[in-house]
Amino acid sequence: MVSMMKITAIALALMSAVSVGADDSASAPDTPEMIELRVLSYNINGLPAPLKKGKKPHYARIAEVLKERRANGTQPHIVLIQEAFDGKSDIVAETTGYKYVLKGPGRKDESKRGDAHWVQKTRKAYASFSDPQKFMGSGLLILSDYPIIDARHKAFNSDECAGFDCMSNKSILLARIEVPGLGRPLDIVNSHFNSRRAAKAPKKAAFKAHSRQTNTLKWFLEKTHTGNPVIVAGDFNTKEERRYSYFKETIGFKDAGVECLDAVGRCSVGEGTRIEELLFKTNDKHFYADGDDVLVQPRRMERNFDEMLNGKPLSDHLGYEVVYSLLNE
Amino acid sequence: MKIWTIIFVSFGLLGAAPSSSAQDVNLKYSGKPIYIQSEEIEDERKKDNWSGRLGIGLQIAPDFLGSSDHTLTGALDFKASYKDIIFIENNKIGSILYKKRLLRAGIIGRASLGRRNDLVLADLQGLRDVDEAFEVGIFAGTSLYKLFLSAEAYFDVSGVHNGANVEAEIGYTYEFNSKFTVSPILGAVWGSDDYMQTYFGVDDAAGTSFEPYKAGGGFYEMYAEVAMEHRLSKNWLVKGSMRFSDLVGSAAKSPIVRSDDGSTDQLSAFFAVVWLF
Repeated sequence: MVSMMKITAIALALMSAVSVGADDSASAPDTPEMIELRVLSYNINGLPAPLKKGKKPHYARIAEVLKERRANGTQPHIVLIQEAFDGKSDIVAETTGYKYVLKGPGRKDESKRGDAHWVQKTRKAYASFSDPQKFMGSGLLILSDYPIIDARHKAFNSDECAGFDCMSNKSILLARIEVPGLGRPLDIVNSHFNSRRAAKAPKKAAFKAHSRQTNTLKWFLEKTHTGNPVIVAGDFNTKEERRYSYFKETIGFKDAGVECLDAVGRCSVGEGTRIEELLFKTNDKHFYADGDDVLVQPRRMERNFDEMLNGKPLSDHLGYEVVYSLLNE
Repeated sequence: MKIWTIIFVSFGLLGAAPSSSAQDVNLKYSGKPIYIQSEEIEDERKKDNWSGRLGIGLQIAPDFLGSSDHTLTGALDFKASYKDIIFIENNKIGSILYKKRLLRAGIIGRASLGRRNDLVLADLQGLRDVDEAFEVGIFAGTSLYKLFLSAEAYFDVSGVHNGANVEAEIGYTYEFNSKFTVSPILGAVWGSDDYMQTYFGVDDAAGTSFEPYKAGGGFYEMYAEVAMEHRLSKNWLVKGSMRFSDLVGSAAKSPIVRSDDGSTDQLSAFFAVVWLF
């Protein structure tokens, strides 16, 4: 026999589903309410010339896909972009209909502490350049359909990078977003961590830098913690097992890929998406934490933007999109 | 988690979610996006006001500039820096007045070893002593990733040579692993007329075995150096460097350098255990 409580729950859940989004200026609802939120993380490989050339058509195609999806009403509500170094990649932020754009720190918004790992301690006193030398910005962008009501960032200190990665101002970027119907703002964090082989740095130095970045992210999350639900997504370069383990353990957030695959029947995987590309055979990840009174659940995930343009992939990464359900408690 | 919440989540995910995405998004928004500014969160990590190093080791160097004889001695390697602005480094003292991403510059002073007959015995007997000089000047250094360049210009204020001296070098740091670095360095040194005459000229040949010689200003030394560091721990490292210099220009033509006691080839090396603080 179905209890009265269950019947009530079903009824309320259905009612809330129908009523969600009716008014984005509405205040926090009195009843539990399910909100669907599509979040895409995508490293667009937007390195500037001369490192990469001829990328303009690729950026244009990425923008086109997002526009097509918007026309169909299936666009990701929030897009987290990494490696938007190239000015030509602005087309993705400016023509895809996202009303709010948060740009990560530029080249000059640098932190100023710590020696780079290659600094010789015994060279001339003035020649050790302990201040960071950034030649590119963070390459981070957050595009949002919903108002960004607050934004914070932290550029990694200069002893928190290794090799070529030290040339860009790698950072953590937070957007506090007012999602209509959600009882409190949602914190979205985008970041791009130190690469492994591509950094061309000694393995130990690269691992140390990555671990320090992880510690900084933990510090950043604690510093910005207000009880809001948090989604942390980006290119974390955690394909290496020890990097992933340390990251996961330190941050303490749920891995959306793992949670989704564990939630059989409640979370689906997009067609053509390989399971390993949601889990460990990827540097792109989504992590999340519930808010004080908001529950977060991944409901669907897929790796997208896998098409070829003139025989070349749009980026050296795939998009990583997760459909979350946010539930006011 | 409350039982109610679990029920809502479960039913919501299973049944209600497909219709729950109808949020009020302005799909027709076609204007330029609104760019939001983010605010930096600063960490409280403090940087020590003082930093530096103290090394103890051995060095081998020519007895004087242009000497063919080399002597092995014990040597100290010391540097102390206050707030990355004022530094004392072996025989130099300076202040970094300009600090930017690609350039550091400031003022510098140094004490330069002289040439005294009691040091070089009777080899250069009859030539006048050259006392230790104190020189002041300016420096500039730049760095691009692992490539570094620096230049120092000095002017004598002690009345020893009354000239000017400029050193410039370029190097690149190779990391063989996270503990071991090697930096090949190329450098050149320039001296003014007065400087060159003091160290390479012969003013008064009386009482010496040298012909009078007027040394002209110009580049007089080209060098190649290899500097190595091996990190032992956070605060300890061993360093080694070896420099081969070739004296050129009027220095190479100096009767002092061309004598049996002189040489255009100059070798110096240093090895030390260094404590970083």
